Amino acid sequence: MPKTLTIVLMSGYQENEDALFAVGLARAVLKAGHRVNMFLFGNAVNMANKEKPIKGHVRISERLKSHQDTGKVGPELDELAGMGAQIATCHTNEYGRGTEAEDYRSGVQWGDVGETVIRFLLTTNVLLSIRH
Amino acid sequence: MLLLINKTNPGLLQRISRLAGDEDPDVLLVGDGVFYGSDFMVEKLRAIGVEEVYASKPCLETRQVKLSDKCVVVGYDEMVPLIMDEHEKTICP
Repeated sequence: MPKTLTIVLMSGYQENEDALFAVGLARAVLKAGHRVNMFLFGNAVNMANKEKPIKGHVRISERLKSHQDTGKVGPELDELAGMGAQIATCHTNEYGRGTEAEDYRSGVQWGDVGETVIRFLLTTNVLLSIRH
Repeated sequence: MLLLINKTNPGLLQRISRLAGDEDPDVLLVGDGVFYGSDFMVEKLRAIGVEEVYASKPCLETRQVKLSDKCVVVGYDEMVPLIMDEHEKTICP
């Protein structure tokens, strides 16, 4: 019988591998026929928005750029949403980072702790909070 | 109980003991947590009551870790039943 996994992800993709793990696990869980909710919290909210081209001179080397880009999981969040995952971000955490009201990726929805997380929890069988 | 270990931390063994209480937990090593898959650390985990030690295949592939033969290597597909069915709760300490 299908179950629902809710992942609360608290790290951004540049800090550690938690985002990569969350995406890999979510994809496998969806493929197995279960449902997935994902709530982006803390620095994970930085993955919620559409990427904007950097204005001005970019000083990063190609090698370092390639390394940084490896962990970018934004497009994978869109893919997960296309597979049926519900992905929402915390607007309060976005406000604290100056990104509230920026355009969201197609797979990510506005969210908050008071309503979105509660809505997720009401249908959750397995809760996994991933933090460092 | 399944404990998701995603980092190395000097207080980890104490934290596991505190979280597990009377239970004998299983452990899933991911990210830098796979460094706890050595013979030395698996013995330490066993000594505080940890039963099964699973280690993430994709995370092992990016690190040179000499894994204990007491660890079970699992891919994402094999983590699904561990997290969704076989354990009542999964905690990331």
